[in-house]
Amino acid sequence: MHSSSLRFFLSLNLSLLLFCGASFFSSAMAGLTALEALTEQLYDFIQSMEDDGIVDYHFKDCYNMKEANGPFLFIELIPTYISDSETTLEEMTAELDQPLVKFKHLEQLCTRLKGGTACIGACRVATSCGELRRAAIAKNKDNCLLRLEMIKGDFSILRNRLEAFLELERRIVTNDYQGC
Amino acid sequence: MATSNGSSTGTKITALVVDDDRVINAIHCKRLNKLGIENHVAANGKEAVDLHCSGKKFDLILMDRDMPIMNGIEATRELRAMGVRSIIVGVSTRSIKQEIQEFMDSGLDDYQEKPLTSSKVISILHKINCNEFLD
Repeated sequence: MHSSSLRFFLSLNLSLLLFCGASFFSSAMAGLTALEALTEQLYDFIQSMEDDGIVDYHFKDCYNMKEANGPFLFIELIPTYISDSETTLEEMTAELDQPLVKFKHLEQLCTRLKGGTACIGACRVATSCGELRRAAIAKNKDNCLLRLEMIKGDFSILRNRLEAFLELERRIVTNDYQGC
Repeated sequence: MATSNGSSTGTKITALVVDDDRVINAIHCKRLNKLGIENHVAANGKEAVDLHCSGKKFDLILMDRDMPIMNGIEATRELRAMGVRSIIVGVSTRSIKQEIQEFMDSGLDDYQEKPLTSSKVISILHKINCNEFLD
């Protein structure tokens, strides 16, 4: 090949290489920036839940366990918590529908729900569980029914926020940064 | 959900998490894992007792109070009667003094109200280290 053609060929390839490298670097940087933006959005979301009194610092503390336990920790944990809690709430409703309420059983259900709820930092629902338990200890059916409705309301709010949180978390974990 | 063979030989601290709630088990195990503790799970007191009957030993047992089949009070009494000398920490949401005392009287070394935090676990671990030093 003629030397000038060779030089032209080589310089063209070098330019292409530099262009591809720059493009790759640019999109990698854009991806990193998008990840940072999404992560910031997620932490802002956690803060908003704290500010609204839905969760306390235990929620963020649990979330930060991801570092040592893998990125899918919360994606697996939260749906389990929601599902198990819904089951317990159904059992509570069924118990209070009985003509003769077994208050001891209701107490146990309160303790069960409060345990998992407190451990993920969902303080508002945990507090409501404590109030229902006190009503069950007092064997006051009317108060139990009232407290159960309050728990359901608080749990509904919590579930909605957790589902929105999970949506952000899924995007982070699956590297889906589009739309940031 | 076993994550170890439960041996207490070697320098790594071993723990048994006894709770019927899978969310709590997951959180406690992850927390212990983050602190470098080898952990195992039992879903109720009977499973915990059976594990010990099979020869397993643990440095630390985190024992829930309210569980089906065998609760934490019964399990703790049983384990102490078997001669188990592990640090047994009761973990529950119950905060009424009498209830806590009833649980402590079954043979616990300590009681912690849920949620269990890393700082609570670290204070428990100091207790284990002190006991090893005294032994």
